[in-house]
Amino acid sequence: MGDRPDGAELLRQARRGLLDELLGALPEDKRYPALMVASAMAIALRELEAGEQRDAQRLALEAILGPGQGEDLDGILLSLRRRLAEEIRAGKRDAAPALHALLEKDARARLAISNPKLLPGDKTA
Amino acid sequence: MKDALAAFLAGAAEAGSVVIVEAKPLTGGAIQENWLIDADFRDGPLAGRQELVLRRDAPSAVAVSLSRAQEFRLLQAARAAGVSVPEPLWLCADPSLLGKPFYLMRRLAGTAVGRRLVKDDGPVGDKAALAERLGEELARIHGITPPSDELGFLERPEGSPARHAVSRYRQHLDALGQPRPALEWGLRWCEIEAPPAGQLTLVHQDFRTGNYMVDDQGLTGILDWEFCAWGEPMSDIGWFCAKCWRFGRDDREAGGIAARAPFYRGYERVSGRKIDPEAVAYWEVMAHIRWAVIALQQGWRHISGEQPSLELALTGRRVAELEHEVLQVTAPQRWRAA
Repeated sequence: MGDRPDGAELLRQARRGLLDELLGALPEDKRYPALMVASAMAIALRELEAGEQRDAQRLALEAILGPGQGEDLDGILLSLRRRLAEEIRAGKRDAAPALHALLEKDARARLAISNPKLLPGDKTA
Repeated sequence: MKDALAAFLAGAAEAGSVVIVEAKPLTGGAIQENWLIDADFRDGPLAGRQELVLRRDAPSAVAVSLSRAQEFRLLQAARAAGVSVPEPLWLCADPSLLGKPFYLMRRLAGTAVGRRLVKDDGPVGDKAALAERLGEELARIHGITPPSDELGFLERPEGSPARHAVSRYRQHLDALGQPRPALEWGLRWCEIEAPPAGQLTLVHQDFRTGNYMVDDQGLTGILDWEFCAWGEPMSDIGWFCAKCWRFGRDDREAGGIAARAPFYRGYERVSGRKIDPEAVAYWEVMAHIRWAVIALQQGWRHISGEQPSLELALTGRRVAELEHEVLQVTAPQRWRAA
């Protein structure tokens, strides 16, 4: 069990402080670098809030490729992704609808963390 | 640095002496180092205050980009072809002066910042006129064709430029060592749909909003020539129009500034070449893949510790939006009778 406020709560408040208190006091040429810092904090925060995704990713990949192999979960995921990349490149998965759906879902999940404003139909700013 | 540079400038400009009034790094060069230089020239043809930009190789140069000496020759060739570019002045190939080869060019007025240019209240008044002018400029770039003695260093694709690009980006992905199934999906589509080779021209390969300068009078020049090669002209049109280079103004398909029509009109009038919308659409898919590969490379420069930088790190995370877009435009129904 970790202490509260947890990492996400600290990050959220730190970002608020940066934007609400510090940004206005910065010279014009430091504005963009400061906004980059705020943006990095927002990504890290969303990633923390999304939580652990690897088990779900493994299940989705194995549904298409069969059981993966590896020492640990990271190793299994890497070997599954590598096999998938090789098969796509070799033309064994051309235009496959189930695979496209999986790739799209995965890209959406990552986009929801890195830049949710770009998600189709998403109106959160 | 100032003394060595002043001595070089005095010799190059046949001036009695040169005083460096200001020398400060310009931001925005992820690959090269750019310096703003203000210098007072005493006597000689350039006597007086000169506003210059110095470009020098960064400590870690990206392997695919051209050297400063090559870039200098490209600027000369582009200027001779009537392209609006910063006037190239002097090249110093000797690395002993400033640690790396460098050259100087005249500084252009205005701004190149993409997110400012696309704004309604930004520095660009008539955006359709700007798009048309950019089409004309790109046509002049594409008017430079191989063979060319002075541009003999430029890479030439083996076989069709499209297939060449596919194998190049696969090599880059392999070198990065992380499997990217979404990009592989897009690359496989590009392999199957590859248009046949056409006539090769000079291609700029980074002709987009953010890489040209604009002041209140309009365009002042095209920048960032370090990725030039011989290639397929429609690839530059696709890069300029690709959704990833519209700076959030997706409704303005020509670089976030205007509709395609004025851009295409300027291009077709000056080049005499008809734009093939299908070919452009193909190269827009390739543009997202290419940008994704570059984003991964830039992210890796941060991750590897070679060049720790928040900007590079954030660029690395843009790969998700690029992969997402690649998947949107290569959905199964868009594959030719697979």
